[in-house]
Amino acid sequence: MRGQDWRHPDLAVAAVVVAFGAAAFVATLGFDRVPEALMEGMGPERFPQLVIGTMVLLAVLLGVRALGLSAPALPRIPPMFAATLALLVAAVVVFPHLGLVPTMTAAMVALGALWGERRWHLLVGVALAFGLAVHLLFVRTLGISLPVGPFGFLLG
Amino acid sequence: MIDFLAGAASIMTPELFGIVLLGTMLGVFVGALPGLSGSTTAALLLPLTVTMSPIAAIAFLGAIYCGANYGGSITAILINTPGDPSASATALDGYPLAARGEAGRALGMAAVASTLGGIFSVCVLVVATPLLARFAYNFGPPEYFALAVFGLSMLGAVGGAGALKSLIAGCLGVLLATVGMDLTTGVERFTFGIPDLSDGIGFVPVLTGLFAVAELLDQSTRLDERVERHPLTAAKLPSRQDFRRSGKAIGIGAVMGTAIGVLPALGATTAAILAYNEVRRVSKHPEEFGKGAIEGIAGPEAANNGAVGGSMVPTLALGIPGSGTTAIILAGLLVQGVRPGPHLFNEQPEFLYAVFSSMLAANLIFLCAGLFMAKLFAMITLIPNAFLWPAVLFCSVIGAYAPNQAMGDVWTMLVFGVVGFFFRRHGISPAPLVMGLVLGQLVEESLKQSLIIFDQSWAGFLGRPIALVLFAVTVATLMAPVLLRAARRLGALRASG
Repeated sequence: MRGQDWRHPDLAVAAVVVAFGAAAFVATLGFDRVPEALMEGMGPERFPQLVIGTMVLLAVLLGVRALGLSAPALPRIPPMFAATLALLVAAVVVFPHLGLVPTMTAAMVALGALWGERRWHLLVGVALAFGLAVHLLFVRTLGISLPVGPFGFLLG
Repeated sequence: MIDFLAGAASIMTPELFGIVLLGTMLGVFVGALPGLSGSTTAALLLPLTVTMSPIAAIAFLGAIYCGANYGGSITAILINTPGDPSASATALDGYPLAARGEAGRALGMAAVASTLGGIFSVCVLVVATPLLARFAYNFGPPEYFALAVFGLSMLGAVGGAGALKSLIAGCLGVLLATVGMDLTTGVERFTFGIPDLSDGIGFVPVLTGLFAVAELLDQSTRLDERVERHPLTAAKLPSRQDFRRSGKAIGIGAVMGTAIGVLPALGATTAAILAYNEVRRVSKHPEEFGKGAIEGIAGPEAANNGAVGGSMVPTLALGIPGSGTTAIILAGLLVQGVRPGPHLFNEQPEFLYAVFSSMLAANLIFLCAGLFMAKLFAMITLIPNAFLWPAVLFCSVIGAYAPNQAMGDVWTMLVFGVVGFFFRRHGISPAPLVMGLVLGQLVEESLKQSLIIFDQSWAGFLGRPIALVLFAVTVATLMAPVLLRAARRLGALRASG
């Protein structure tokens, strides 16, 4: 049937959780060993393994429950999601070099434009005012130091 | 009583009162923005509290929690989009009232009912928290372990696939709490050679990512949605007739909201929906519900704000969060080096009474703000997404970076933003993960200490009556939906056969 899928979305959730649990369990096997003579009580890997076991058991229950059910496929994720995420990643990569306030001010303009805003004067004006307000609040008032980058002199 | 008066006096300083005022107004302002819930607001503004004293920090976050719950009703009534999930039941009758040109009446009732529910719950908070703290004062590690497990099991109280997913998210949160150096053995766990992870995963970047960045990414997929907005002239005080019709609904909402809020993990949203159903059930005019019944606003609004005070009871008395937002408040206190619980209550009662007083003040502040500034707050809904969300992104990055000045925290925020986006897509609430993360250390430490007390024998729990009762309630909570479904099927079979 169109719009229907034999795979319930919860099956994917269960599969991801089981795979994650398996990877995490393998990671616990790589923890440093504590000499028996020094160890009192549970080893460092025991508690995480207990939690992973519970999580995987719950995921299996979720998967089994979803096996007999059908549900409409989840809507496709529009390309705007990937574009927005790419912009966020780019902003985080750039900000240690350009400074936090200048980068995020530019990111505000770029994200607004990406989301369809074309009133450039308003977009740039709001971003500049917001950037200045953030600088005054966090740096000047709360005394938190933020990376200033090459444009730091503009902020005094 | 003397401690309460001392606490009340402590918030009468201009600095603390200013912080409560600011927190309440920010809460109402941001709570009125669709997509920015009380949890998101608290997560976004958590870094601001790093520079505050512990009393100021919790008063600020408590005021945000109160204000955001009311703020959510503004958009629920005007544009049928709850600013906070706890206002979703308010939209059912609030929006039809606004569509009839009675938005001011609906907003006035929302403000008054929220305040009455909030004040009732603060009164319960003042009485119940010391009693609970006194009861829990002699709890040892086994009781704390049982209590934390009970708190996490309440994530499954909603039943169905949602319960399983919430429990999985809770487990994931507990697992994330194990990242970093094991305090007992000094062994690094899940750090993969990254030095930033040795101290564990920070609360603030996870919270900012799960709530703010995830919502931003979610908004990016819904840019073409348009909302119909109803105009507002001014909020009106409810008339005598409205009060007569809604008195019972406010009473039911306040009591149910407070009671549900006290239970760990069940917050304002559950309280509001259950109260709405109960108010409709006992109403003389159930047919008017969904078409603009004023009681349909009064009940859930009293309930969702009643749940605020209720959810602070286990948070402050036991250190077990009563809701997603109180988990964030608890995280804020942990960042400050303060762990709420019976000891804190007995050692620094004025600290907790200052919290109660600030919440009482927050309720009165948003009543005034709601009645006199509703039109201004309603204008918040006009801010276009292309301006609002970039500003949220800015605040998120600063919030993640500022506390530790670490780039690793910003990447953590981004990763959890993506995780939160896929959580939402698959119907998983991020709140259970936060609860697991906040409770994780307590669960592990109390379990390890218990096993040392019991000489590594799990059977030792059998000799601790309080822990046994809590385990029994945990099992009953987890099995209740299954047993209820089985009983319903059996009943249907009997009826048909």
